[in-house]
Amino acid sequence: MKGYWLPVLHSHLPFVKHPEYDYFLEEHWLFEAVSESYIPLLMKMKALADEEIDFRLTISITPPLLEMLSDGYLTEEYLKHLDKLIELSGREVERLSGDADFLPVATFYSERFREIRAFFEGFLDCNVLNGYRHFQKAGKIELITCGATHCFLPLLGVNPKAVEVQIRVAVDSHCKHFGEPPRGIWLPECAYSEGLDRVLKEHGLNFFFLDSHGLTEGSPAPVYSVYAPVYTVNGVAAFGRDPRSSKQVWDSNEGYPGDFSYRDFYRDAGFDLDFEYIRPYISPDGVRTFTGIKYHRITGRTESKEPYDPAAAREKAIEHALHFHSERVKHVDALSNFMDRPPVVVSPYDAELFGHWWFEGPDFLYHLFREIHERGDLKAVTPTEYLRLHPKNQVISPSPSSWGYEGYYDVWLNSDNDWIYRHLHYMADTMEDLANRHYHETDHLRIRLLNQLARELLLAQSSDWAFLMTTKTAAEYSAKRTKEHIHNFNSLLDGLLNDRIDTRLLEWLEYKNSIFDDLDFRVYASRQAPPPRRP
Amino acid sequence: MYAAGEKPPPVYGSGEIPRRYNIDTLVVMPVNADTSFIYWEVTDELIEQRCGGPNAELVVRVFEGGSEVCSFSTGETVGKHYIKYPASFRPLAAEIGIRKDGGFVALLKTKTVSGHRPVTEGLWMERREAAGTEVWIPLRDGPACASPRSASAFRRIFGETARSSGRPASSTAFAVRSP
Repeated sequence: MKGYWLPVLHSHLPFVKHPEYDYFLEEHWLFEAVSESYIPLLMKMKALADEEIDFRLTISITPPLLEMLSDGYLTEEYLKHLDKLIELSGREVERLSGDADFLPVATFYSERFREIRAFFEGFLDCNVLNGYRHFQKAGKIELITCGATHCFLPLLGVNPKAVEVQIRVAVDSHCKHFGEPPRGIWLPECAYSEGLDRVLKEHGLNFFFLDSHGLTEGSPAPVYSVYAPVYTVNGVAAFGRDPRSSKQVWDSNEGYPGDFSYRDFYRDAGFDLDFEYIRPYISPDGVRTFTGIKYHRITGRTESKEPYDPAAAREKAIEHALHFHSERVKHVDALSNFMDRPPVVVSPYDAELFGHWWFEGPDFLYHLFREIHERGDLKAVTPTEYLRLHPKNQVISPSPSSWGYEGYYDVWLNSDNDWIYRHLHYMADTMEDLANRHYHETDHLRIRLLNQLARELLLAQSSDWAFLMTTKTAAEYSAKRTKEHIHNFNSLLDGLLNDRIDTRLLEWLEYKNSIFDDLDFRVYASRQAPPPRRP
Repeated sequence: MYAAGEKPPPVYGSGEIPRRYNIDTLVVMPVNADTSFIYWEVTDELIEQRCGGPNAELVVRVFEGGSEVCSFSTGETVGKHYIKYPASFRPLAAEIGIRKDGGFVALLKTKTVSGHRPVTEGLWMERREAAGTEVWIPLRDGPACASPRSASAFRRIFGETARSSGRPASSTAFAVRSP
C-alpha cells in the first residue's frame, strides 16, 4: 500500500417545500437529485457490497437534506414524480419503436426508472436515509454533518451564538436521523475563519475539511502540504483538498465529465419533444422543464448532438476510473519520497455531481473502487480511520478560506447579495435576546412562535441564497426566499411584541417551513442553555 | 405539525422587508485578503443626542491596531461600503461619527468579524483516546523530513497551491434551467 485516498461526497440541497402549489419547480431539485444521484450512488454501493468489494466513502448529508428526505409530503411528491417518469419513458418506448438510434436509449430509461422505484420501495423502504444508515452500520461509509442550514459561517460571526447554533442544531439533527453523533463536519462552502475550530470542538467534532490554500497558507505552513491532516490549536483535525484529483473531476474543460461520449445534460426531452405530447410531464403552466430523459451524448462543441450510447459511456467511465487510479498511484509514489508516512489524497466533491451533472459518475466511482480493491496500492480510508492510524500531526493555524471562486468569501459577499447580512445579523441578535428573555416561557403559543422564529432565522441563513444570487441561477427565487424568511421573522416578532399572535400565519409557517420540528428556541440563549441532546 | 394530506390554509405574506430596524450598528466583514465590507445603521435619535442636530455628515474611520487605515464620508444613516486594504483578515475596527470643532465625535464602534491567528511554530501533537477520554500529547519535534529545506522542496514539487477555482457555478444550483 503506497497511500490513502479519502473521497468525500458533500450532499446538500436547500430546504425547499411548497405545499401551497400542486407543482413547484424548485421542489424538483430534490427529486432529480434523489433519482439521479443519491439512489444511483446507493445502488452502486450495494453492488460493491454484494460483490464483496471493499470501499470507503465519507458522506456529508446536510440537515436540510436530512429533513427533506424524511418529510412525508415530499416523499409522496417524489413518488408521483417517479411514476410520471415511468409513464413517460413507457410512452417513449412506444413512440420510438421504429427508431434504431433512439429506441435503445428510451428502453434504457424505461428500465432504469423502474429499477430506481424498485430500489426505493425495496432496499430503501421509501426513505433514502435507510441506505446511508445501512452502509454506515456496515463500516463502509462515514457520515458527517454540515451547518444546520448550510450557512456561510465566517460571515455570521458578528453574532457568535448564531454560529454556535448552526453547529449545535446540525449535530442534534444528525443524532436524530442517524442515532449517533457525527465525528466530523463538512463546513458549508468549505468556509473557515479563525475560531470556528473552537466551536467544532465544543460540539464533539474531531475533524473538518479545508480547501488547499486554507492549509497551505496556514501559519506555519504545513510540512506535508495537503497530504496529511493538521491539528488546529483547539485540537480539531483539518484535512486539505488535493488540487490534482479535484481538477480531474471538477474542471469544466479538462475534467472527465466533459468527455464527448458522456450524456449531454442540457438536451432534454422536456425541451425537445412536441409541446402537446410533453405537456403532462412539464410544468402545468406550460413552461418546459427538464424531465431527466436525455437522448444525446455531449458529442463535441456543437449543437448537432449524436444519440447517447449507454454502453459506450460506461466503457469510458471505466477508462476514466483506471486513469484516475493510475494518476493517484503515481502521485502518492512521488509524495512518498518526502514523507515518513503514506500520503493521504483528499478528494471532496458535491455528491450531486455524480449522476445528476455527470450521469456516469456513479459508474466511475464503482469501477474506481473495484480497481483500488484489485490493485491494492491505494487504500480508501475515512477521516476517523486515518486519524486512528496516524494520531501524531502538526499543529497549525489555518488560513481563512472557502472553496468558492477566488478562494475566500467573495461569492457570498458582494454587491449582488450584501443586502442580506444586515437582516441576518439583526435577526440573530434579536433571537438571542428573545431566547434569554423568554427562557422560562410557559405559554404554549408563545413557545411555538419563538420556535418558528428560530426556524425562519435558520432558513434565511442558508448560503445557497447568496450563492445563487451571485451566479444568477434561480436568483429571483433566492432573493424571494431570503425576503420571505426575513418577512416571516418580522411578522411573527411583531405579533409577539404586541401580544397579537396570528395563529393562522403561525400554523401555516409551522407546516410549510417545517425544518427541525423539535427545535427549541432556547438554543439561542446565551445563559442557562440546555445541555445538547444525545440519543 | 401536520401529517401529509392534512394541511392548513396557505397564508401569503407581502414579502416586504424592513428598510431599517431603528438600531445603531456598525459591522466590518472581510471579503477577501484585500477587501472588507462595512455596513451601518445610525438612528436619528443617536445623531441628535450626540451631535445636536439630524443633518450631520457622517464619517466612517477604519483602523488596524491603533492606526487609521482609511476613512470616508457619507450622507446615509443606513449604508454600506467596500474598502480596499491588504489585511482584511487581520482584526479591523471601525467607528462612525462626525467631525466637530476640529475633532471627531464617535457615535458607534464596530462589531468585527475576524480574529487573531495564534502562532504554533514547531508544534506537533498526538491525540490518544483512553477509556473514552481524549488525551493530547505534545511532541518535541516533528518528523525528520519536516525540516524547512525539505518542506520547501516538497511544496515546490508537489504543493500545487493554486487557489481553487471553486466548484462549478452550477454544481449545487439545480436551477440551471436553460439548455
